[in-house]
Amino acid sequence: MTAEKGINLKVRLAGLELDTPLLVASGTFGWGIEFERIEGFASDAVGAMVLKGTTFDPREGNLSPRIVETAGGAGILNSIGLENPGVEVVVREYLPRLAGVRAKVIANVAGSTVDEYGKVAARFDSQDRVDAVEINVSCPNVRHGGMQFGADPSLCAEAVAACRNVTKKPLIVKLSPNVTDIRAIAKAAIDAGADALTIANTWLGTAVDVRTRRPILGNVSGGLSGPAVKPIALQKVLEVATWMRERRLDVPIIASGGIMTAEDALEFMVTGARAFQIGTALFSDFRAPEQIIGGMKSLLGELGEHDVNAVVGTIKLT
Amino acid sequence: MIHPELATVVESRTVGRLHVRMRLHAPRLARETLPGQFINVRCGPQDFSSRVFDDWADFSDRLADRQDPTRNLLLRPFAVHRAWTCGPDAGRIEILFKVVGRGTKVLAGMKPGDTLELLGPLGKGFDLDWCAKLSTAVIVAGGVGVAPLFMLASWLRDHDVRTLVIVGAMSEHEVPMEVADSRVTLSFMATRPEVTITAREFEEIGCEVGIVTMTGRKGYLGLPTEMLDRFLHFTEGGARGEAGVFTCGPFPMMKAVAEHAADHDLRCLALLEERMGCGVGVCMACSCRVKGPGGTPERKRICIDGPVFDASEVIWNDR
Repeated sequence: MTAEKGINLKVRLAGLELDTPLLVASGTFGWGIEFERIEGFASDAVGAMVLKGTTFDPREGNLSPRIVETAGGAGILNSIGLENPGVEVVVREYLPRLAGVRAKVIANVAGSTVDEYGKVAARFDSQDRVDAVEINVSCPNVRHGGMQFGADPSLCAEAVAACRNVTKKPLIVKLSPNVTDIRAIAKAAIDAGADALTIANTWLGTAVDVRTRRPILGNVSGGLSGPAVKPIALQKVLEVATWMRERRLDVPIIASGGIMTAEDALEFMVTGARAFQIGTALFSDFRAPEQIIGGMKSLLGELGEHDVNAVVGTIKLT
Repeated sequence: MIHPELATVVESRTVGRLHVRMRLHAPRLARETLPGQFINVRCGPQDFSSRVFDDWADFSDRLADRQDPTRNLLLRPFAVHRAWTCGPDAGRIEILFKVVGRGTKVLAGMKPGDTLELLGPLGKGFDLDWCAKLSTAVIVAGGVGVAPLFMLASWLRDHDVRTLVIVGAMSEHEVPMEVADSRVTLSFMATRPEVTITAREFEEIGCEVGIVTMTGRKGYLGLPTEMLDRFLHFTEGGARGEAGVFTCGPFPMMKAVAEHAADHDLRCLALLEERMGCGVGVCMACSCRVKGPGGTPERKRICIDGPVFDASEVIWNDR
């Protein structure tokens, strides 16, 4: 590892200093402490943790089954449905447990109405332990709110503005890929005050049991993640990064979509992402953060790079 | 503590129809797993991460490994059927499962000498402080639901608790353990089948065994709850001290067992199953509704708050 010691993995993201560009995605890391119970979990590979999506009132979530693996182990469909105990419990009970955590903590805000987004963001704004706020306008698994905010530029702008009005903390907007033109939504989010964009949430999908002729998921449809979505997530990042470059915009992109290896992560960074999130990889192997960060140092060394920031957006399109 | 463990397959054999018993060398899990806890199994080729690397030179090889198409993305949860800490099988555990999908199919194809990665012990097991106070225990298993209950039976027998094990299955072929014809009949059963069958594995540790089948060709004809009911009526009023009921199996069966236990004012512990994503409490895929303090519903994660729940807190009409 000596050759890799000199490689810088620290990144700056919308005012946040992260030790590594690796974030653990909302909904895949619980409330931030569960993985600590696993012997050998390397928390120092995690630059920031995004907490489970939080609404103002508690939410029960969807009927089970809530998860199913897709063909060939290529992906998973989930339909959790934003189960959470509500922002008050998160603030009072869960945030204090993160006092000693070195990684940055990003709260994830969800809601059914613009007003709810604002109220949840305001509650998190008063919390020192919350380093940034990610707005979920892209949950495919709830009937009201969630993805509908991410599919309509004006609704998206309203939800983002409602949060922007109540917090000075860095504001990240997690976009839905289930749209015709993600750039229109990205523009709306940026105009409404987003400091960074997460691209992207899961793709709508479903699975049917032919023997019972019923959908496998209790909620009928769910969100597809994992290696299956990586090429299409990369395409979304490419579209937004190219559009920003054309407009000389510099809003950091956090990539998310099927990243399993260091090479996957660097593909996204070369395409224009400043950092990346992993989720499904964590379910597959709790050592994913450590492996990806270790692999990234090695791969950067191989590429002759000493700083991960130097590869961001270096894709050669001509 | 929850830890990864690279296990070697020692033996794998099929029992009954589509059930597999797989014995694995996993000494730390054998030592640390408590009755009712479970493990996550990587059902596929061993992941690169379980090997130790001193350098990252063969990075590209490992990349290829991770994208192996035969690899399953999610680990699969399995009950620990047995664990040995001494004797010729010391350091081994056994899992017992039914082949139902891609993960179990891959697992069923593994041979002695193959390695596979485990993560555990997971979940909270049975309330052993309470178990230690029992004089009588009735274990009611439906099909492969027997898998997590052998370790419990074994623990109970080690603590001199009289233990009746009732196993229900469609037919004698679908009992997920080796069965043998038997001359022993249960004293509390009014009607006797032509051929009684038993699971020697439970008899060997000193349990009374009643196997109930829907066909009745072998074993007692009927439902596990009918046998449970007869036993509870039979012992009622007897000076047998505190009794407890334990169950794992199809949800409707567990619901019926819980009702029968409640009718007799007995505490019942139910081991719930659900599709899981992570097994460690982060994904909320296995969340279920239970009655919280004061009866107000609250959500619990089967993987870390369970899988064992007090039957009185389970909301049985939820499925």
